[in-house]
Amino acid sequence: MNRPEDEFDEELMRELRRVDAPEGFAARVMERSAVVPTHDDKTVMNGPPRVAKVLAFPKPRAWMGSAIAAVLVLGCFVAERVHVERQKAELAQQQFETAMRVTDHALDQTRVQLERAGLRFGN
Amino acid sequence: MGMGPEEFRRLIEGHQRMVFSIALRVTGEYGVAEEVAQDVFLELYRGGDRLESEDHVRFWLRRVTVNKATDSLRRKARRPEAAAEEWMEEQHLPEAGARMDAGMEVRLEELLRTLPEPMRVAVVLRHQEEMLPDEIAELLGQPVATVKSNLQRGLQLLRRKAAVTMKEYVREQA
Repeated sequence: MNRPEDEFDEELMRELRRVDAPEGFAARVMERSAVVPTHDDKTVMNGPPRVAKVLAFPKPRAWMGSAIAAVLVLGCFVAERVHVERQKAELAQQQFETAMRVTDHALDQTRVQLERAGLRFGN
Repeated sequence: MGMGPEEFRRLIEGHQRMVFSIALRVTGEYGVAEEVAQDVFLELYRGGDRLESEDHVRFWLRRVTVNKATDSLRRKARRPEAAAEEWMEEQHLPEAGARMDAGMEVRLEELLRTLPEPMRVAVVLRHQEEMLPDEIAELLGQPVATVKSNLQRGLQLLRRKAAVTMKEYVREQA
């Protein structure tokens, strides 16, 4: 005597029989295939089924390539900005030091002139 | 170098029912299923001349169809997993000895569309394609235990949903 589960499984198998493809399906596929280039050897299908895994590998998501490219571009941009900022900082430092030397020199000149005028400043 | 058109046509006509049926039961939509099925055969056309035997062809077609159909499902972001857990927890147990044909047609195929993708795929491959769990595991690249679990849970969920559908129908008729 069949258990209810067995009857359910049998019912499921009856309902899930294969159905016909839509009318004209084969013709439509043939039409599309007429404009599809065949790959030379890019697609690997060799070996028995248990090793024919290449096509079954999930294809990398399309967005991953774009994401990687975006990260690389961003990284280059950041590196460039860092370099530019560093150059600016170095230039500013040089300008500051130059300004300090000029100021020191000017102050020295002023001191000499004042001393000649009889005024003395602390050491 | 791809296959010739005659050979390609022969393969389409020989396997279109299988490919389309898998695509239909996994995606749940007729139009989407045809798109998936066409894409599968076009991919076969591009490189199928390297398949070595009819068994290899059948294996390859089933695998690629399942992959493309599940990709299509994910793109549409259909997520019945959350609802599935609710169904498993509620006390929707079929009555002992209850039959499915209590004056109504319980469309199991319609209820199948409400299953989460992993369970749906396992049930389709088991009950439509009559594949054994270890064959399904090899096709999907999954452990056998995972396949068996998805089968068991999928069938349990289907039974519960079918029982509720039948009860509601009987209540409406009363």
